[in-house]
Amino acid sequence: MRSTTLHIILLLLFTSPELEAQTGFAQVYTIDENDENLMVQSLHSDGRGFIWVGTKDGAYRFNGRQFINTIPDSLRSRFNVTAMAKDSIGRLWIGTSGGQIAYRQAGQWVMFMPEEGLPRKAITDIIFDRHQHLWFAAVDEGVYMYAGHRMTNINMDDGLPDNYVYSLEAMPDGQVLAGTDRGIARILLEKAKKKVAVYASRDGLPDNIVRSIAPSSEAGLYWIGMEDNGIFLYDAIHNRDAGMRFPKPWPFGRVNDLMSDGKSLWIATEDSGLLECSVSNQGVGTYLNPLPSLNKAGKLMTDAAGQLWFSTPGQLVRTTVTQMGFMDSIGHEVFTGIHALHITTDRTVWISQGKGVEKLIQKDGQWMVSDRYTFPGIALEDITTLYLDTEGILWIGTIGAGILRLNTSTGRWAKLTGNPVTENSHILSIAGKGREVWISGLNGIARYNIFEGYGLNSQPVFTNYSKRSGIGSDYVYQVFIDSRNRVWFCTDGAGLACMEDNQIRSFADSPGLKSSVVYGMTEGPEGTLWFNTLESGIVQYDGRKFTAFYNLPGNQGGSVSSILSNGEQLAIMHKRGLELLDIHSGRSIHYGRNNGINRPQVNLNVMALDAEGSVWIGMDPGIIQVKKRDPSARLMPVTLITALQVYGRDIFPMDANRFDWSDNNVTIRYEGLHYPDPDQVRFQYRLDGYHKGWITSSDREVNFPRLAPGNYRFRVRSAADNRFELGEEKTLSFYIGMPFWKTWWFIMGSSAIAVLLLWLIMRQRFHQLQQWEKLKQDKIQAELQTLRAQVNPHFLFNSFNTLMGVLEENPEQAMTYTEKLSAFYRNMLSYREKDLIPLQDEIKMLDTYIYLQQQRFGQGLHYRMEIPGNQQHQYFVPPMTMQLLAENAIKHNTISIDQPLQLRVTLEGDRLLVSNTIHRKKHPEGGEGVGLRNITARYALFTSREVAIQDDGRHFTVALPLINTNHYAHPDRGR
Amino acid sequence: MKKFFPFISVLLLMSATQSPPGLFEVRKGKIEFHSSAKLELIKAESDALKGLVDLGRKQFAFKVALNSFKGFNSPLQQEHFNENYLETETYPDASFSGKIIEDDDLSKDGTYTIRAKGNLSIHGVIQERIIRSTVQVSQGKIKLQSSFTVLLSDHDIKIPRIVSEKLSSEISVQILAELEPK
Repeated sequence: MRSTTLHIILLLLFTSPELEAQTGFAQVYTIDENDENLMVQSLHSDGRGFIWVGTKDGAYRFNGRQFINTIPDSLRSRFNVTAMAKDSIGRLWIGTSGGQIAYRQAGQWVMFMPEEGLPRKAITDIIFDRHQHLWFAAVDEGVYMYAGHRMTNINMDDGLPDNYVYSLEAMPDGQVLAGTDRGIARILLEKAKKKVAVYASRDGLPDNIVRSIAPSSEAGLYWIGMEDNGIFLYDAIHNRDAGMRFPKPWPFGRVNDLMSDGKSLWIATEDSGLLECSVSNQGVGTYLNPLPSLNKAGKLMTDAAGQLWFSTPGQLVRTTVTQMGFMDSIGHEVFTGIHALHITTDRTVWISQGKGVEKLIQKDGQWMVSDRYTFPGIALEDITTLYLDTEGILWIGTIGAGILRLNTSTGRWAKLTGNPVTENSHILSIAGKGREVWISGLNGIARYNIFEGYGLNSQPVFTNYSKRSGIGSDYVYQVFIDSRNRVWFCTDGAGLACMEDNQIRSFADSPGLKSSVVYGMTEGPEGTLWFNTLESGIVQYDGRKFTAFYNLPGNQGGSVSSILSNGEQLAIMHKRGLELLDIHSGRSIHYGRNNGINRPQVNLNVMALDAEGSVWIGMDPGIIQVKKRDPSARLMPVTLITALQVYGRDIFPMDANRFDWSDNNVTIRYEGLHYPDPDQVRFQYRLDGYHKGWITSSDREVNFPRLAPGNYRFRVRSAADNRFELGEEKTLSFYIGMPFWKTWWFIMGSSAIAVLLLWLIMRQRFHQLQQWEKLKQDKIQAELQTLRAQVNPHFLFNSFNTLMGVLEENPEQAMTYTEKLSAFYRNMLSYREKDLIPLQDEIKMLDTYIYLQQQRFGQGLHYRMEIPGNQQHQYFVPPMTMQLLAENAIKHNTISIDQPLQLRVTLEGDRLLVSNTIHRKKHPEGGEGVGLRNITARYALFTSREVAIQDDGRHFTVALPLINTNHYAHPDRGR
Repeated sequence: MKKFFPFISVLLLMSATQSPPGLFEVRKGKIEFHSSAKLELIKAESDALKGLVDLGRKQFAFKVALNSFKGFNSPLQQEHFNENYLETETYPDASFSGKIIEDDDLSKDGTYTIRAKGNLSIHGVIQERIIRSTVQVSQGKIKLQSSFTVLLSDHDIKIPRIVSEKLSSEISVQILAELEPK
């Protein structure tokens, strides 16, 4: 979707001097696409209140501020939208020049594809009949009706006068009217039978080409708009002329569309734009052109606020003509500023522009100035108020010259003399009822009693009232007679006073009416009275108590110049425009610059009510007639939630969604449709579950970037007058899920796993500790064993035997032997304490041991140490492992010169190989395997590499893994 | 949008084979146009208007070959007309075919004002038009007189900016035809 630039042109269309009709206000919008103003080919509103515009480049949705094309760029050339309709559930339907039909659902266009297929011709109109069956007309193919998955075609073969159908209209009885090139067809489809009745020029229709059909306010009668001869009223029930009389001739060109609002008929014409005419039993009134500068009108539509819309080439027009009329001049006279306005029951308007008085009358819808009066020789500063009494005397209140009276039948006038209250004084208001005329000003109050047949020469009887009479002030802005004949005085300084049965009562200290300044008043429905006060705004009096009812937005006290009720609404004139306040709902609508009210007047007596309920307001310049509003017309914006997005992705449908914990960036778009004045709309929103209160904003979008899991409800309401509490509220609920690690099953499951793991680890640890304990015991065992072996009496016995032998042969060598023996035992005792000793120490120990044994076995024991000296430094071994292996070898094998025991220590990679030749003893000694197990277990404490034992029958080899210093930094670690 | 050409052919074919009652053919047809622009008046006319009117079915078809237009102010103007504006090699004919709106019985002698509604094809662009004509019926012959305007922009006829001042955007067309039963 793409939005286009919106150009708004405000037109207040003043009458040209030749024209004397009321003019209307229009606002013109253009749809600019690629430097081209698109033609509005069809116009409709949908069920939500959006206005839709069909163009050759697709369907645009309009919110009062921008046009958004809802057709993707690639498809636009195929969506030349020629027809639009709304179905019973508010969906918008479109028909195209290529014969396609689509409807809008959940923010998408859905193609309507009946089994029979659609015609390839342009769709000219779409409607839904009483049963909500779809009807449409296609160029040169007649009419189609779709019901129960079946399509029926009605064409010339069925009696249709012509296959070219411009427009369709559903009758309440289920029949459908079709406007064709050859008259009107009334179509009845009943049980697959087609019945067509025709009304054409030979029957009396002024023109065969029927462009448009619209219902009239009377059942069964339809307005017909034709190509050449204007309009016609058709009695569809009897298929005949309804007998309406029309003004002749018709120079306005083709009738493109028609619309009746009960009082007036609105006609969109090809050559003269929008026309209005009144309709009565006598016939159709003069055709008036309220928007003379727009000389072409296409499709017509009314919106929810009761405003009229129409298309004109390259533009869309919103106009308030159904609600307001402007009269800025009559003939050559431009009304520069109205100071006083009075309207009589026969709708004669009396105005004063300050110095003189003019009488305006209406003839054939056109206004003219019938009489003008000036008052030479009278020193008047201003005319403030006008009142026409029952005898045709116009009472003219002035500043400086008191009261002038004008006999409206003779045109003679005279100053009212003989009363100090009214003579040459400043008059602020005149009110009258029956034979009484009341006058208020800056000198208090005067009441005049008139009588039948009185004239300018007869002096009416008067009674004066002053602040001492109980009114409290002599400055009285307005005197007002209500429907119960009470006389009210709105004063400056003493608030409000009322005279009932000749008793004057002051309301100065009434609760609810705090203001001591009351500018004016009016009477509303059911005898309620309404006051315009300085400090309390608009105050309502229901007969018992005063209630502050309304304040202008921004609380501009004292800026309201006058108020007037038409029974349902209160017109409130103030410096920035006009508010129309609906008394029952409390809702109001503002009319200001965007609706043609540019310079409101602030004079006191410029509002008056006519017999039809229209409020007439004298302005600067001009006069406005505000027609009585249709009570069903909306005053408030239509609040809509238009989009829900998660991370920029649109979600449909919008309500009651469940999102993942990670889908927590939520954007919500909303709209306050208020076509009369879109810029006035403001919003209040809150997200229940996130916000505590309402947030007021002019934005139409809100983003919640990181919502915690939980239930949310978004609420939004809109208002054009800041009275949000009266606006309708739209809501949208959604739920953001818990992340899985916060769900109960995950927590339960993972706790169970954690407990299991802990148990396993503890069990493992327990086993390990047991292992350690065992190893420790093994080690102690080994040590004990070694010790036991070393202190083995055999070893000592053998050693001493050897020593004795050596002593006899070589006493010097015996010394060495004894030293070695003692060194061996010393080392054994010191190494026993350690886990690991350097390889070279172990080798020394082994050397010593071998030396001791070689003294015993002589040539029977061959020993070869094949480890280079430099390699001996970097490795470690558990103490006395090699000695143990050597001892084993000696213990288990026979040793003799014939069969010598060959013991060899070599290095292979990072393993130490201790090998010996095997000549097993015939009677092996016990304790076999204990030493080896001991070694294996001790190695397991330091390395994962295994102690490998190989016995090939000839050699017994034990491979000891060498422990590197680098890997084992603290070999001297204590126990 | 070419759907109307078959209709013309059908009518022409009908004329060749059989002559049902109420079928009239143009015997003498003259079409002329003029455009009054600021500087230069362009006008031309052709006698090559062909056409058929079926009074029974109230249908009609007219056609004129565009290169048959003569009487331009200069040969250069004619060349521009044929080559630049109307591209007559690509779009050789202009045609108007459709129906008669009015219910009048045109078989009786008299003078009638009728409206013809149909598709006007010029320069390959079809516009739906309602064209008013005066029809004079006497002694089995029809005299047809009609005038209407054609907006160049309606038919995608582009005028180079240099000569746009010379050529009005609106062209007036007059038709005068005499028809006799086929």
